Amino acid sequence: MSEFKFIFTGTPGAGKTTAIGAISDQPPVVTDASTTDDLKETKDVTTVAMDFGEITLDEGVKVHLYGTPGQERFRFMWDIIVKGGLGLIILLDHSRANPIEDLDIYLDNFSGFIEETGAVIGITRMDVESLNELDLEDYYTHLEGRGLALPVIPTDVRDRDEVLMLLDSLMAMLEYN
Amino acid sequence: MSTKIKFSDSAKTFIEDKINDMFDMCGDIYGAVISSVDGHLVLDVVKRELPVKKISAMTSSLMALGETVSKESDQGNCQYVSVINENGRVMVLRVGDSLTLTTLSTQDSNLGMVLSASTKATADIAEALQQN
Repeated sequence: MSEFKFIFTGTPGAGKTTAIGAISDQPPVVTDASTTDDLKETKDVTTVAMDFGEITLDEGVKVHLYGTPGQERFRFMWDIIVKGGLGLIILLDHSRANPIEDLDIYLDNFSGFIEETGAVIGITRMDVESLNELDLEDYYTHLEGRGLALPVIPTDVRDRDEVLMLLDSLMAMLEYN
Repeated sequence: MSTKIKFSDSAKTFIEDKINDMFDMCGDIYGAVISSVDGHLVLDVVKRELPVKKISAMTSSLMALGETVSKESDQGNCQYVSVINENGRVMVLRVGDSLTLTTLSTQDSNLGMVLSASTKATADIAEALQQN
């Protein structure tokens, strides 16, 4: 039976833990700690090490799902978690002040991994009031400017089908490449 | 972004005193770092140069992993996490709900003494913070 490892990363509060929980066959393993900084205004806990879940797809393919902490101070965990990974899902909270700047943080830090494997971008929280006036096209334009052609998909991370769509897109991309 | 946990000057002095007591009790401990559970540096007392901000983030991950392993193994609460290395030891303990204490000691240190001194320090600090 084939086994894959995919990694969820992205901004704090974008929904990495929720996304893994939405599709994992078992309740995910989480490493939450109480927030003690400005993030406390939006969430009580944050991932400080990793999330882990797994899903067996129809074809019997087992996918291990790893979530990284979102904050840059946990960058050492990003380097640890990507080892052996086959693809990256970047989740961006669209309601933040500058999600394009956020995107660059993950594109820069995971550049080698993305080059070797592939990535899809899930845009979350498009249904809440936003601090910016960006739309999907702006993400594509920015990616194009960086010489990247990656799928950008609006995603409600609470919806299993929408998170599976991210996985499907990533797998299709990897197969095509 | 930084933690909103701040100590008053008197609390800071008290904690530093308790850390120095810990150094006196176990001379092989050369560094103590107090961090928030989400990985921010709150206070440090070190006898040699150390990347204390990085240590804060890393030890919060370590503690969370220890607690998760303990929970998944059905072994109750995690009391401390220790890393035994070629050139020293790192020990991470909870201080109340929001903080951790990380002690760094030499490779010659007696693990029992390090644990005993660190545990006493965390209890003293937690009690003082509760009273504040």
